[in-house]
Amino acid sequence: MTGASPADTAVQGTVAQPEWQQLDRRSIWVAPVQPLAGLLLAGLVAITFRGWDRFGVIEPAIGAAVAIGVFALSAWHWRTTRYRITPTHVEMTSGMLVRKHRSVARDRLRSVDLTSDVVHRLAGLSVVAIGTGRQGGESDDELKLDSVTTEEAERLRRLLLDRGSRAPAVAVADPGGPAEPAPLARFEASWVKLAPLSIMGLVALAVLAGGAAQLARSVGGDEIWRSGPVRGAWDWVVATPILTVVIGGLVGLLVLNAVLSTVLYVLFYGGYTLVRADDGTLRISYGLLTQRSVSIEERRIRGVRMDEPLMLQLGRGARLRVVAAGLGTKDGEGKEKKDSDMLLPTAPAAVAHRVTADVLGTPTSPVGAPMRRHPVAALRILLLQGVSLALVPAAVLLMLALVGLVPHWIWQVLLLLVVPAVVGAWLEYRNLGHARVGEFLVAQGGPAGRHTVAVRTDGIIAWQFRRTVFQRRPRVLTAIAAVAAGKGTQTIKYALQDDVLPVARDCVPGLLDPFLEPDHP
Amino acid sequence: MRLRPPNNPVHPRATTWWRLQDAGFYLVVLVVAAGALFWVSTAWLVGVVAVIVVVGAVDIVVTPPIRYRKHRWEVTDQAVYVRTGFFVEDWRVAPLSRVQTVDTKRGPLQQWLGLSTVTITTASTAGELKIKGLERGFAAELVEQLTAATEATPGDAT
Repeated sequence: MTGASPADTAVQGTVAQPEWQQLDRRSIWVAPVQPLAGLLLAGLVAITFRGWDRFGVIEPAIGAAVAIGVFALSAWHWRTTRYRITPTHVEMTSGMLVRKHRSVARDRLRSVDLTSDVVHRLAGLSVVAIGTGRQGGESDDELKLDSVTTEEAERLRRLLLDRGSRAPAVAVADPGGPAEPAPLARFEASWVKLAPLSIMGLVALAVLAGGAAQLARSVGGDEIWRSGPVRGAWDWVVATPILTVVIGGLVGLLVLNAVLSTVLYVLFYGGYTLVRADDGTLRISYGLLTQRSVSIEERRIRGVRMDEPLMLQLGRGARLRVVAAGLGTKDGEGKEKKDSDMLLPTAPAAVAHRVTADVLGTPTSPVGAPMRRHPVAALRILLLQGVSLALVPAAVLLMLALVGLVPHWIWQVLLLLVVPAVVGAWLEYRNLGHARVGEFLVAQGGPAGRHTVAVRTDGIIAWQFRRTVFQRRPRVLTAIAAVAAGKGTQTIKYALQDDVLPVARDCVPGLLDPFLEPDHP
Repeated sequence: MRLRPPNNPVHPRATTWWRLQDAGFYLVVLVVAAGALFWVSTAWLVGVVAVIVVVGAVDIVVTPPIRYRKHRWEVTDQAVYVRTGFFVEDWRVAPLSRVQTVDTKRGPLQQWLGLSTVTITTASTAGELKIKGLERGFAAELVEQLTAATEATPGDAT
């Protein structure tokens, strides 16, 4: 199995290329378990609602055929996938009918992400995702090994993120030894108090509801509709006054969300630790069921983003993400990757500020610095945008009412949309701000929840400024800093021109000076 | 303090290019509207067609010169500076040391008019600068000059 020892790779050029390695044989059985579990669940639900007697031979036969097919594909994938790590490149060939060969220069690797869900853990396996520096496009580049033994995964992580003196460092590094440095942050039981303020539970509920709806369609909606519990619930809804139903429903949802969010929070982020490893990487590990461990090269970190959703602000809580080059938010197939840039899960704001300062190496947290607020003209712009958008449905229905297609009360009711629009504009205005703190540019904004991003000014690779004709007279300007990390831009929205231009000028010395002039030369 | 306009305009023929582009757009809209008019000839549809004709004519006459006046660019030995737009004004500055690729592109209309669009990209998905409507030979020279300048700086420009 282990073809190349680290010592081989250290001596460049003189040794033959290391041998190709295969994924762990057990991944044939492990990889398809999760999709098949979904299938099994669907089958079980179908049986519960339809009863055994209504099943013929065909459905179970189809199920079995699919299962066999999935395992066969998995075996084929295992047989055809090979990887090796040469002194300069990581190479991977895979493919069923179309052979795919991918090769990535090792000095382009930015992060190594080890994930192992419950099934993988039982088998002692991990999925290794190797992030490269490519930004943008449909999918960020990523090599994914699904899956190798946990020891092999650890070996790969150490080997791939080790720079410079490769051989000695590997020899010294003691796997899981007592020399583990003290973590920058560690999961604390008191953080769980903030969990009910997140909407993780509601999101999970929505996903579940979506899945259930799809299931109901495939099982036969009528039969579920006629089943006991559903009828009971419907009868209660019909029998009680509407206000009770609405309030009861809302309270029920809130309670459900609080409970679910807490459970999910503990399951997802329990055991969280943030460690600054001695090979120049940050390692973020967490998860009670699915264990995840993400290593990010510190040299690639351009800044930190702090998110404070509206509800979380009530409990003075915050979340952190890292802004780093090559931490793609999409995987090799272009699917959204979750939490690949997470630095700190929901935690007290004080902890978030401490971690930010530690990670960025600053005396105080830049995202906690006092911000330059934006002019009242910004509030006017936001109000104008929000209110005019909110009036569109009312205007359309007013026209329809004038023609006589719909009654007049509908557009009158829709005028109420103006209220949330005004509140929304005020909330966003409250969030707007920017600052220059040491070597960091800090931008604050967000429609309702607040996000604050601090990026190192030497990471700014271009400036963009925008304004509409209406913003010319109130001297409002939107400044956008392009950064080769995270989502690519940091926006300072509707700032006062005379505030933001000097800040932008000072961020990149010499760049903007020749293009600026005093107002009255 | 304010951003000064960049020094250079694009080629005057760009006005013609934008005019033809706009004309093409309104022609398509007009053909669709006229087709509808052929099948259902109602009074308000005639009004719609009339409005399209008037708006189109004004747009074709008035906006290209404004666009020409607003679209300016400048390359110093340090940076590229481009501004565009009238209703939404947009200024972009990128240091030459951060430029990754420089391309030219010519559509069929531009080819006929002997114009090129120069696109300058940086390592960020957002930092893209476009100079639209330069004279073809001049654009080629500019690309060469920019490429030489970016090759002079080492590193991967992130």
